[in-house]
Amino acid sequence: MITILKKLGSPKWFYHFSHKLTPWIAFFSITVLFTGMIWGLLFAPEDYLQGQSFRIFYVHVPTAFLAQSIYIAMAIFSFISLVWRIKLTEMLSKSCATIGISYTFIALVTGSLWGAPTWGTWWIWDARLTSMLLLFFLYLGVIALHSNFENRQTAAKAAGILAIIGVVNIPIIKLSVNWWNTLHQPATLKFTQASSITVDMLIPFLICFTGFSLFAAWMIILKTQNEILIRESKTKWLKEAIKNHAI
Amino acid sequence: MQFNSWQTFLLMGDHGFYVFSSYGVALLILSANFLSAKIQKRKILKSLINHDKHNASY
Repeated sequence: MITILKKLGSPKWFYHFSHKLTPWIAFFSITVLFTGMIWGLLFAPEDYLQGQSFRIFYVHVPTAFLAQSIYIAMAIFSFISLVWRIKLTEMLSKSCATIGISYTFIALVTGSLWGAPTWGTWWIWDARLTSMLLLFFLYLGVIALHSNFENRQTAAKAAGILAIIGVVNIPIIKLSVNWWNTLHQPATLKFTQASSITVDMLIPFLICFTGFSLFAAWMIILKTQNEILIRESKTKWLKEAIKNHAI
Repeated sequence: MQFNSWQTFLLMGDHGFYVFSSYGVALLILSANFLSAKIQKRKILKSLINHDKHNASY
């Protein structure tokens, strides 16, 4: 068991494994994402209340959901690297921050673009929007801590602690629409009960969601590979791999 | 297909600006992520190879 974990945590193993995997993830994330977006733009029906602006849903909801999932993943990776001092999870955690903040930004901007025609306002300081903005600043803090320390380990430790503390914000985002009465509508898609959405809207949503998930995984892998190249530059396996053009 | 002409598609029932900006922003940010990762990798490899050459010449 321990040998398996050690193998999984080894940057060398991760680099070789992910190197074989990336062309597939790249191919699938691009095709699935484009299929989902074209479906959402062209073939999904319009909403009887919101009309065509409902198409923003297919970008807004997957990115908003994944922004939070990626944050949780980042915190878990940080926790593992803080407790067991595993290098790979430290790098994975750092890689999550960039795509996480990107998705948070997309969710905020598309939310604003959706709010303008639907609510008549670009922004209000309600609980959902404010806690989502806080998520953006938490990501920003983590990224700043990673890049503002001379010592990489100190940086990772500080960023990891902030990431873990920030997890408190996630249930606040989730429940904010139930706790406070706001303009933002409650969740349409539920895990425990039937969702209040028709199938011809659900299918393009699920395709978009899969596409955005695959794209995030792809970016986390690319970023982690870069991090491995920097940190393991003095190792023998990497020097040989560069020499053999196996990178 | 929900639209019977290009014009109705681009208009999006007067919400065209909001819908296409949303998709545009998303695609822009995703491409920026991909490009920055690729550029970063190229830079790292370049510096690693230069570093090795530099060391070998001594």
